Amino acid sequence: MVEDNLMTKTLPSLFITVICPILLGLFIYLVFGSKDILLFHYIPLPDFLASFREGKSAPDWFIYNLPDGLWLYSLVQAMAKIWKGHKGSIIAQTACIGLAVGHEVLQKFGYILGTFDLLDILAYCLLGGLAIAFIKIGGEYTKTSKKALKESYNNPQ
Amino acid sequence: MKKPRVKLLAGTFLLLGIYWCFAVATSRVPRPLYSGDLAAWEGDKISFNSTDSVDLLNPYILLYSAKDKSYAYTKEITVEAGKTTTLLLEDFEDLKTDKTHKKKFRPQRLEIRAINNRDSKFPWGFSYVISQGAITK
Repeated sequence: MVEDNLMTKTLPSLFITVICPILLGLFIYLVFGSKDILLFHYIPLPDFLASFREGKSAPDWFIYNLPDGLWLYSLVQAMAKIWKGHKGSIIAQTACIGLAVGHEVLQKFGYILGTFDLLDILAYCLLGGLAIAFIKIGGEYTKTSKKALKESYNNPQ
Repeated sequence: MKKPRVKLLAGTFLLLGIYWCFAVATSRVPRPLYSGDLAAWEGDKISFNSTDSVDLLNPYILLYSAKDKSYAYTKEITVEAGKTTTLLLEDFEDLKTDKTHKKKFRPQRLEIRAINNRDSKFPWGFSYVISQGAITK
């Protein structure tokens, strides 16, 4: 019973906050992104997708920076789910943003492969911050709901 | 009930691994850059037409001779789309060949490579091929 309740609550939340952002980022990569990504090197682009891509264009920030931000949003949300109820949760979430920003900064100084992009850092901070804010708001909402439920149970009208 | 610390850490690293794979899968790979995949060798000059600009970090050219197993590379270069890039043999620095050998050096393959930091002491300071092609004389 409890497990059923947990599954019905967790799965939709997991889908909306973790899976959806990743799928949206992947969709942007598949439809608007470069054909020269490693994924297409091993799994050829399907014909229907190749024809669907034709003539499609979008601003650079939408193609390159938004998927990176969505990727981090999803990671922070997933991390919050793993660390739920633990003191280190906020540290784990912030560390994800730190890792992403650090990765970009190391590219700037040439220590790791890739192209430095200031807009990537902005996307990481915005969407990573947004994820933490939503987790916080969600947590407060759950606490209030539980409290209200407990009060209504203790004091039935 | 709280999860044991080991499970928590295992979950964290598994998650980071999954996202790392996603980042790698969407990273760019080498692609053909210059028309006809051929670079022309004339006297002490080598030139090629690129069909795309090289927008990766620190691109440079590497010349390779399979015959005498030697290679030389340039300093960081700029490759512009639709324009001919011409390089002088003097622009190349030797890695395995000396000055005398350089005069005899006749490479058969040209590679455009991107590198994060050639002088990096870190183990991940490696380069990778963006494009490569045969050299015609």
